Amino acid sequence: MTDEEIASTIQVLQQQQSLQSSALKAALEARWSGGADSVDGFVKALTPGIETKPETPLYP
Amino acid sequence: MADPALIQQLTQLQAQQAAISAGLNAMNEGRWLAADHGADSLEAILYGLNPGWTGTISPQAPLYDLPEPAPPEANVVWIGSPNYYHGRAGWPVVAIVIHTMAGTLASCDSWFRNPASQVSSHYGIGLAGEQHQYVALSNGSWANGVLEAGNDWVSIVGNSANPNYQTVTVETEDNGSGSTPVTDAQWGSTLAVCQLALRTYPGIRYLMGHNVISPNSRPSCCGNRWWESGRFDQLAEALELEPCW
Repeated sequence: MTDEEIASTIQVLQQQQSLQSSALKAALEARWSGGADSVDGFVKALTPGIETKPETPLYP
Repeated sequence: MADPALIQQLTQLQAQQAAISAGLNAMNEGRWLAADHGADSLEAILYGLNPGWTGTISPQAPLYDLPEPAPPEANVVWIGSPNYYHGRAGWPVVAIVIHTMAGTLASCDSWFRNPASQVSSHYGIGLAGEQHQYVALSNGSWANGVLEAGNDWVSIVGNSANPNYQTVTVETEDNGSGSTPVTDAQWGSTLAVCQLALRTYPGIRYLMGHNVISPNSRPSCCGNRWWESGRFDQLAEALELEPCW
């Protein structure tokens, strides 16, 4: 791989990790589904076209 | 030879990937809050991944067990009955006896109000959770009959005096069939009136079926709708009483 290809791959990986971190943050804040800023929204952004059946856990 | 800046970025990505995996594992194992699980929590791992989030996250831990539904409050409707002992002849109240009506709550109301029936109980609990009272707790109801041969009452309680003086009695509606399940509402209301009885008589130790007193004439009272279903033992556990049936 050329340096340019490696840099491009790194950029994609950084974007993916940002989405993964944001998904974990959404889970910690109990935003499981219902919009782009939810776990379900980030999962769909990470894998466009994925079909999900989100279930929200119980909270006190 | 790759650009050292790229190698540094890759190294950073590897560390972040490991942190994300650790965060997923924390989530999987239920380690949500830093206050509960420290550095191994998802919250702490996220702060490590993105220090800029410190103080901006509003963490919530989900429940893993459903909370027990609260039993209904006692909401007793006074019906009354002429069939009872005035007082308890000096005997302490030691047991709550659960009966099954072999009928409806309405028929029980009518029967207990009839002086000719010569029977009553303190409470009657409907399948929908209705709570009826026929006899004041300070008086003895006429629910248990007399001690029959082969009874377990004497060995459990230690005397052969009339159990009607020593018990609080609860009839439970079954629409005339011993196979009618005890509903959640009926169970909850039975618990509520038993808790009332326990507040009045903290010395109560036993939760009994009628069969303990009358094994010949009432061997199936309060029956498998209470016993085999587990509802009876569940009630005894909730009341912290010794189950006897």
